[in-house]
Amino acid sequence: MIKKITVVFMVLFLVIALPTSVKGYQLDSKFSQKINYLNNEEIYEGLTELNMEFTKDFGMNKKLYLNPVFKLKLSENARFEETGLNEKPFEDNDYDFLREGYMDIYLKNADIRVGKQNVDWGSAYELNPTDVINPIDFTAEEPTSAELGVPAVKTDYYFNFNTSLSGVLVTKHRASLIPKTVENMINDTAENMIYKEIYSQIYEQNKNKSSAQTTTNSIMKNNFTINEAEERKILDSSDSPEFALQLTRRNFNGYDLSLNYFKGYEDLPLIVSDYEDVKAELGQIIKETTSTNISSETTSIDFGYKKTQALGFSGRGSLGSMGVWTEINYNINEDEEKKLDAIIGGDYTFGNNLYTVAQLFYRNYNDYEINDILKNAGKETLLKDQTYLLLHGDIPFRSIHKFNTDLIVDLGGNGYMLNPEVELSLGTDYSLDLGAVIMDQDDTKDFSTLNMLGNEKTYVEFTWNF
Amino acid sequence: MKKTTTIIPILVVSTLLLTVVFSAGVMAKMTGEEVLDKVDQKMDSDSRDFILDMTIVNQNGQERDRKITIKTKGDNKGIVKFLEPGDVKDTALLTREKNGEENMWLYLPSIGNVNKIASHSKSGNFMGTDFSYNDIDMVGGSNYKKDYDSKLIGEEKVNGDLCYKLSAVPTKDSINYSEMEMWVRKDDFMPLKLKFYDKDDKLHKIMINKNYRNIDSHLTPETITMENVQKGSKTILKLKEVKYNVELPDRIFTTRYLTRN
Repeated sequence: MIKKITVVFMVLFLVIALPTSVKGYQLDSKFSQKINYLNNEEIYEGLTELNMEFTKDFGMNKKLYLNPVFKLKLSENARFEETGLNEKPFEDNDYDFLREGYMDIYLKNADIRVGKQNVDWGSAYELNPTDVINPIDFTAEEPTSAELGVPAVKTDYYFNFNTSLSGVLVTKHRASLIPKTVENMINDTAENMIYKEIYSQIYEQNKNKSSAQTTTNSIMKNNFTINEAEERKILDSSDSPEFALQLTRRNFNGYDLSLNYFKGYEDLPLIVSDYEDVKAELGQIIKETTSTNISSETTSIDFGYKKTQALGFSGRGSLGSMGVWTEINYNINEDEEKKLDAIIGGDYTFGNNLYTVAQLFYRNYNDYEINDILKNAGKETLLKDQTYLLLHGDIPFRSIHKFNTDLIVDLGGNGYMLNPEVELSLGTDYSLDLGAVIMDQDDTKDFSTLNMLGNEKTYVEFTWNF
Repeated sequence: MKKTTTIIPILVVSTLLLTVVFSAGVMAKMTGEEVLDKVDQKMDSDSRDFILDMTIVNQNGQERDRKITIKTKGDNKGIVKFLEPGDVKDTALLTREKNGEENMWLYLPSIGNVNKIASHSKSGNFMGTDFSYNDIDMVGGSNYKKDYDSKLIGEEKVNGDLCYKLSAVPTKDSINYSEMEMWVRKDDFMPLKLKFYDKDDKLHKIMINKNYRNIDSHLTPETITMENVQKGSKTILKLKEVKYNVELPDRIFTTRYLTRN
């Protein structure tokens, strides 16, 4: 730990000592130190981040951008030990050191970006269903703003001021990072389902609980495995590349409109094994085991990232004195499992500069096989239809400071999350944020949207831009 | 004969007097619209390229510094971009007007996307300053006559300079003032002071333009101060670099350019 602290502060010192422009590089840096008090776990944790942005203009309409990040978690305590939801699935220094790194090439009517990048699509507030290209780091403190960069080539072609077409080719599929405990929960759920299946079949045959239990345990140990999902190297396989298109028309009757298409892979793992095949293989194993005490057959539940296609639409404009927007994304995967995300929202600024947002988010999972599995495991809340109302308000005070509040309410009656925050400007380059996350959740162990947004905490964050 | 010689000087003097009186009458009868027209003409330029230091001073006297660039072309295209400090750097606002309809787009680097701004937002504070989006647009190039109907209500001195005093009401719903008072220096038609009243007719803001300098044949205030008298805060703009009638390609005034850092 001491070593890590030393490294971060040595880098910080070097960055401060460097002039902001070195050999044509423009350097902008941000240092932040956050201290969280996790209310339920009653522990403190410290998060240190040094974010640097190098830009170099090569002339001839070429520009290089590099965004290395040094991160340090000062607390060695297990984070979120009760829920585990935000626990890193890896060591605490394992993160995207290079958050983004790309070259921009500006042509007469087109801009090309090559390298590791985030592609930001959508017009809604904070949450963008059409923003499907980058996976999300659900282990991050604030997953809504934690997109993971992907290696890609993006081309924006401008027909005129109002109309443009974007094309993105992702050269390697990257999956979302989910907390290890959630992975374990999903694996356990699948395992329980198989256990129940084997046990019930054996018990049907011999009506002996103890014997059925012993045989089931033996089969689970010797003949069954769970294979975790692996990311797919798109260009290394015979599969078609992951790509996306966005057609944008600005100022159409006062509205900015976009139509999106995506073809690639899901970012979250799902069971890719055919459950009927697994059941048939289990039947064979049970038959052999009950007659000979041993079976050489094996079967498995495989998790993977399914091929998928998505069609999206987003629009933004004014209605009377209000700003309004909508975003819809319809996703259908290789097994014809469908997911619909829709957002409708609006904003309004009052005369006293109180800025307000109201946004309704609806998600519908249709025919997802995992729904049945979760139902069997009593985890119906996972991947069920969800409707959330988001309310946001911010107002400046003393001109340079700001009050900020977000309220997310699960309209299905499963609680809310409230995040009041004060942003204090300590100087032109310094700020201090004080805030709290207040949760009301029935089951804090669920992989629900609210839980993925964070845990109950009180925090203070110091930021220095230099 | 003597009569004739006496009449001629009388006629000349009378004519001169009439001319002076008539001219004075014309000047006195100059309307508010004509004064605003003159202001716009005097400040008119094909394009402008400014770099300004901005200081926000709150009611406790605490100061926060920013650096911005404003580029305008004609009276229908403008872009404002923050150059410093890091937390607002590259934030950019594009304004385009077509067929009398004004559209604005804002680029926030933290979001990584360009979003259209609703018309009502234009009267809100621009990035925590005491300028509204509309005010900051006005700094880039005056469009007073297009945005306000005005009448001349008198003459007053501002810091020793005799000024026309105008009262003007906005012509657009997106301007959230009920009235603007404007003091225009008689010598050169430069606006020295502007007072903005809120929808309750209470004094809201005062804008002071100071130290006009002749740059590229354009009189330009070195310092523009917008004071919010209701809050007790103010924002001061100091011109660092000023260029008029420079070649600014149309591509700069696009949402495409907004995202370039």
